[in-house]
Amino acid sequence: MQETEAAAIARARTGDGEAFRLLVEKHSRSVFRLGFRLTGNQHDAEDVVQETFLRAYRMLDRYDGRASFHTWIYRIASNYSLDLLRGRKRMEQRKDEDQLPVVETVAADEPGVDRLVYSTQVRERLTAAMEDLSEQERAAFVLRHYEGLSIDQIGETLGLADSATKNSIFRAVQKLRRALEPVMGAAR
Amino acid sequence: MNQHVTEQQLILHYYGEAREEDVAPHLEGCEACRGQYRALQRVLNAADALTVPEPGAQFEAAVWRRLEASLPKPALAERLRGWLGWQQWAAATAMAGMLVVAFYAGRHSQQPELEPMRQGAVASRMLLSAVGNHFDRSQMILAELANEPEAPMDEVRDLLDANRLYRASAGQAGELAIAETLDELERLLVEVAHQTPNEELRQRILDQGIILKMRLAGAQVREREKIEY
Ligand SMILES: [Zn+2]
Repeated sequence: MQETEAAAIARARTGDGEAFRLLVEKHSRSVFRLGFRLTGNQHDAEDVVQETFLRAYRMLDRYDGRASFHTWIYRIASNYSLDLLRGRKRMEQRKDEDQLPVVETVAADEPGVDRLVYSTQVRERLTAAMEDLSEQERAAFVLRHYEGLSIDQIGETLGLADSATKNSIFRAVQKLRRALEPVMGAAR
Repeated sequence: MNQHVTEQQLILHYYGEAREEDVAPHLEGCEACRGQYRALQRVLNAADALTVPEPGAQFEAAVWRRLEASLPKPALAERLRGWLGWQQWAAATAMAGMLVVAFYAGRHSQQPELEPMRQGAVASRMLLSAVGNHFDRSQMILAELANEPEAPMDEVRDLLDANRLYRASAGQAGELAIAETLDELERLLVEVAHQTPNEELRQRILDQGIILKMRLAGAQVREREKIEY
């Protein structure tokens, strides 16, 4: 599998569209997932997919094979997603800050409480808390938690030192705890 | 055993990135830290509840269809660029600009129309195609400048040189909107080329929205290429 990918990259470099199509087909789904995690919505995630492969195609001659193609693509996708997030943050700066919805604490195992209500609450809180993370915190957390990249790889992807990567993850986890523990507390 | 484990160590432990000799034995023997760890686990496990919609079976095909339409064609323009390198290419486009001027001048003369018409069309198509690529390249390099610690300074200077020629060609060809966009880009590039990249500059590139502007300009040029030729 590795060999065919290397061969496809080599052919795509010479302008072979078919070869590039193989690469797109192999990686577009995971780029979509990453884009969705980073931007939080489908529309932006689709934009991330298009733009990532467009950039990859144009920069293919700069891919040196040191990182895996997958890591390289992730790097392009992450950087572009960060652009999108930064742009969006700036546009929203003028708007009033949306407050986290006030959620009553509900215990999952409390009799008579629908489990669905509980999990919906957790998801809503989680979504809101993710929105509240800084771009860097969000990116580092997503890459570690959902994408399973190591701290080393994340640093390489985002251009961060190990310590900065770790601190971003720590801060992200702390913020998520603050948002979720009030609704989860009673479920102990 | 006496020093409790920190929250940070627990987070690293959860992701398998802690120095386990510091964490695992302690957790083994300390109920308080095990409680802390369970609380952390509950939150992080709950984070898995954020799911991503799974695209349909046709997703890859749809992505490719859209992408294929916008990929730079490995057409004459690209191949020429490959052969010539950008300096000669920019010179060729400058010539293309002059051909356009010649075409418009020709219209007012008594010469038969067919030949200059074809020349003019080829020339402006070459210009559009070259400028489209130039916008794309600018967008990528600016994005790198804004996001990456190592700025591609050589490429910035190349880009600036190329930009000057394209701006002149576009002006000559009467492509005023394009010339104006190139002019804006040039002012930024001049500034970038004369300093080491810094946070303030990065922020300004992002604030100015110039990356998006390059993307839109590139798309517009390509759209025109499709419609007009
Ligand atoms: Zn302890």
